Amino acid sequence: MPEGPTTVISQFGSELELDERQEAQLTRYWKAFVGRLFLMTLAFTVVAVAALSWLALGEFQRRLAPEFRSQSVVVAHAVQSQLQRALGAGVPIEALVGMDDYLDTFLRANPFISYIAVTDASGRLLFGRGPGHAIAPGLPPPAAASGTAPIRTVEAEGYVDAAAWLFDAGAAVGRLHAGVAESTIRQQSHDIVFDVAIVTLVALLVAFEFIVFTVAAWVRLPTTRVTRMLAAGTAGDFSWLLPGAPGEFGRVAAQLNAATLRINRQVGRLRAAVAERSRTDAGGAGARARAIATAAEGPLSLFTPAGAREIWDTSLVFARTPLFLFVLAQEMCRPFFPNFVASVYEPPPGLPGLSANAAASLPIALAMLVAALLTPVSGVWSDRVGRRPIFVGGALVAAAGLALTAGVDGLGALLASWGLGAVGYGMVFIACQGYVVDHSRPARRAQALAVYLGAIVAGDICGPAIGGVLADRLGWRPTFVVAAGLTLLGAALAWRHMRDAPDAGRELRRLPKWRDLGMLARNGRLIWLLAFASVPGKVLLTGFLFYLVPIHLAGLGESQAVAGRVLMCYGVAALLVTPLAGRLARTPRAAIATVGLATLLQGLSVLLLAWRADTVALVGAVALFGLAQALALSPQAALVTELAARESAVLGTATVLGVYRLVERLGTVVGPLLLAALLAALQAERTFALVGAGVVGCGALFLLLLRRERRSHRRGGPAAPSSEAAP
Amino acid sequence: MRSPTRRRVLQAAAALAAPAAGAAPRRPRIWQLLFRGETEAEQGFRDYLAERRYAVDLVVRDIDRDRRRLPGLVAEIRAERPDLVYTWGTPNALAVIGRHDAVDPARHVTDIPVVFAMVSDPVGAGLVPAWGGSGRNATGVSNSVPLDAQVKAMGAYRPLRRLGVVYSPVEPNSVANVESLRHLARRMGFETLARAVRLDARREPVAADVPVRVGELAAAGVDWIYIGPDTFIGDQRAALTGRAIELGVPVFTGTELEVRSSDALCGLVARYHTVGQLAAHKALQILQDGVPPGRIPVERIGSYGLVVNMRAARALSLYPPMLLLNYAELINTGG
Repeated sequence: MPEGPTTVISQFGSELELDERQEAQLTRYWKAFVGRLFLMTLAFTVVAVAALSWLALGEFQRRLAPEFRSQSVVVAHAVQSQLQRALGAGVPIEALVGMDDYLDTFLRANPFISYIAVTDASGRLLFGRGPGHAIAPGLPPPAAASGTAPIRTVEAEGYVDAAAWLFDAGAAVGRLHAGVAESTIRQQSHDIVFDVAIVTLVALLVAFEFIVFTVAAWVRLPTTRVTRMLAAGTAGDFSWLLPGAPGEFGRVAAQLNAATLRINRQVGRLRAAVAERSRTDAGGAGARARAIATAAEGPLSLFTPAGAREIWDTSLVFARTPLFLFVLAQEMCRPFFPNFVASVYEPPPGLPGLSANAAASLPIALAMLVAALLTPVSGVWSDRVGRRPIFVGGALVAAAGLALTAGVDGLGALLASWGLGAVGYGMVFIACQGYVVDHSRPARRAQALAVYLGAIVAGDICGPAIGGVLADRLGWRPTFVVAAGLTLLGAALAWRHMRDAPDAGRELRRLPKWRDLGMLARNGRLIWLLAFASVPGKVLLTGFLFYLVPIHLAGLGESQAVAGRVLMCYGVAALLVTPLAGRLARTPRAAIATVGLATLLQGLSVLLLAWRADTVALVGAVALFGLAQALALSPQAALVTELAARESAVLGTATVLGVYRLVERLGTVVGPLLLAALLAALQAERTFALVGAGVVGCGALFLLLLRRERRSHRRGGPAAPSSEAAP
Repeated sequence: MRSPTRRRVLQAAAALAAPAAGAAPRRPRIWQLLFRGETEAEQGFRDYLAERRYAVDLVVRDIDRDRRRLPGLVAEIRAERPDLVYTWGTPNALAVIGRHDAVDPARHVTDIPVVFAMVSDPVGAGLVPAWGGSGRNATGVSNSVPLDAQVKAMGAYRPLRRLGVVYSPVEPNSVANVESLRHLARRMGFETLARAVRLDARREPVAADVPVRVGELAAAGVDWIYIGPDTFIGDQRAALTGRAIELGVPVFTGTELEVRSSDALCGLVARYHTVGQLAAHKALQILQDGVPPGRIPVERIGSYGLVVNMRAARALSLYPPMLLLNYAELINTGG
């Protein structure tokens, strides 16, 4: 233990902050602690899942694959009985009516079936539907031409063909064939492997979140409190008491509190005795008593007259895990949301022109608008009311929005429920941001924010993937219900564990005024940043990633699980790049270069889809897009304060950033609407080409700022006046 | 009415006790006034009561198609005062309760609840002013099938572009039906060709004219010939459907009779059994729950059966589409 007092006046009321070195030591220790727990979980889970998957695949081959193969028999049986009924009623086999429509109902209801066909007795095709027509030739002649013929399966040419004779009036008049392609069965087993892998990944990330949470709540926080108590006592400060805690920590706390109380009592009595003696004996005895008492006490603090102070402490993790659950729930709906909207939408009779796909952009844009407008308001609100009520209230509202969305039956109702959800979304995010600010010292704020970004990225990765799997297996509406449940769980955790700093000394934000906007609008370089980097990036985020990609994938006939995996690539790429991005942009010029290149890359990722836009190309595009967005994120924020240094000095950094975010968010509102309009007018390929080229152009224009920076640098530094227009 | 549950319990107890004890509480007496003997409708009526263990005493009177017997039987009902009267067909219903705007308390039954069944168009016949609760001491069940459902069924069997109708111009019911069909044709995008049967000097339709009209429609290339609620055409069904088959034109009907006992190809019909069940349901509402008959809606049965006559299908080489086979009843399948 270092010498001297460790008392630091902290941001959040506690005077028992450890110093930097101790803090760093402890952080390392806890990271290692959690890391080991996680590694163990990881190792055992991966081994267990790998073993289970291997077993499951074997089981699939043994049991499910035959089950899929037997689909051909099931379908053949159903068709056979109905055909026999028609033949028995006197319909000649070649005169069967409406066979195409009839067989199509079976193909639609049984996606594994490749074809259903009816031939005459010689094997000539009379009716057939489905892509494959691998009708196995060798069906042995029937034993008796009456009743219902047995169905035989033959494997040939990559198909499992179920075939049966059809009888009419005692004669075999034709054959029925129904087939399943082996490739379909293989595809099924691949899908299962993918799904298992996704579920494992999600389970691991969720497990990690909960390990961090549990360790923080049950181990780290009580330990830290005891440590601080002991450190204070070592320094002679006995004015603190520990709050109650579960289990062993509770007993330790009770004993330490009892000891502290006894010290307070005894020293109090001693001081009272000394005071009494010095009052009654003004002579040498009193002075001696005082001298002895002073020598014995040293630097000793006791309870204040108001009473003992309770060591108050909390952890950022208590907001991180609820935020993770919240983001997870929101992201679960991404891979299918536009297609869900399109399915719910019924064009009003008198209002042609708005296609289902175009309608899908409306709720996305509305949600963005609501969140954008609400952010400044709820920021001001949470400064006054506190973070926890806003977080919990927002999560409840968002859960209600999701639950209502599960039951909507029209575009109007959907807009209302999704808009409600967006209200909750805006509240939760601003509350979290405030929570970080309240609970971290300015020097460590970037690190604290990284904790939150971690939760968001983890949600970005898990959400779409697991959402896609759920949507495929359960359906769209149940997935919304699951998402609402997760959001409620987040709200419950936040309610139980989040604690607002008793006296945060918060800088109370205010709503931006028109005057602030005017002042910032005269900053040409800030406008340049917004127009050619920030806003285009946001337009692509909501228009391309949230809207166009799910719709395009559905158009390609992909399942929602696949759409989820594609969207997941965004989060994975972002996760890989984020640590790098912080290091890249250390100077304003580097930041400008990074942001410009990132914008170019974002445009390029979309532009390349104009040539090839199949699923594989989309995976690449989404990953490149995620990488580029993550690259631009932190340099952009740094640039805002850099480019608007003068305005920040007048208005405060928070206000400048607030206005910047508000304008930037308008891009998220425009994104889906713009891309939907282009998609309706131009088809997918040309939309990709136009939008991609546009954003590439924006990136190039933004890079022109570099030249100007060089000049202003020569003239005397980056803070040069910049009220005139940018280059 | 005050305690339906208790009443139901008592009735059920009565039903159980009935076979043994003659002194048990008096069972409700229902008089049935039939038109052409017992049909499946009466079977459905009894089945419904039996399933609910509701015991009644049934008295059956049948006019055997002879309307002259009606006044005497109505007088008997007025004298006997049963708890409820059930009637079969439009003439019987009219004889018992009269037109809603021409009730004669000296002749009609006004103070005994009446449930009429197998009345195709109770509003057109003047029994009630409108569908729904009549306000009279009567309610009933229609066996008609909505026209648009029939048109859709025709379209499901084979594409319907031109529809032929042969009808008797002196039957208001039938004339009104042709008018409705024309409205529907405009809405649903097909063409209606209606041919009225020629009348003789006494303004009676001429039977020999029916095959002639069928020939005209066949020459005009109609996809279907439709038989609506028309008594004269119903009587001439054999001649009409026989000629239509000779000329290769299918006949569609909204009543069960033509498809079951002539060569109409297909019909969307209200099953008699279901009509009787719904009538029994209304009777129970009156007897058991004490609901005033005037508040119980006069309505159609709401679910219909598609009947395909395979003999006609073979003769025409016009077989039902496979999807339609899923829910059709096939008759005359024996080849």
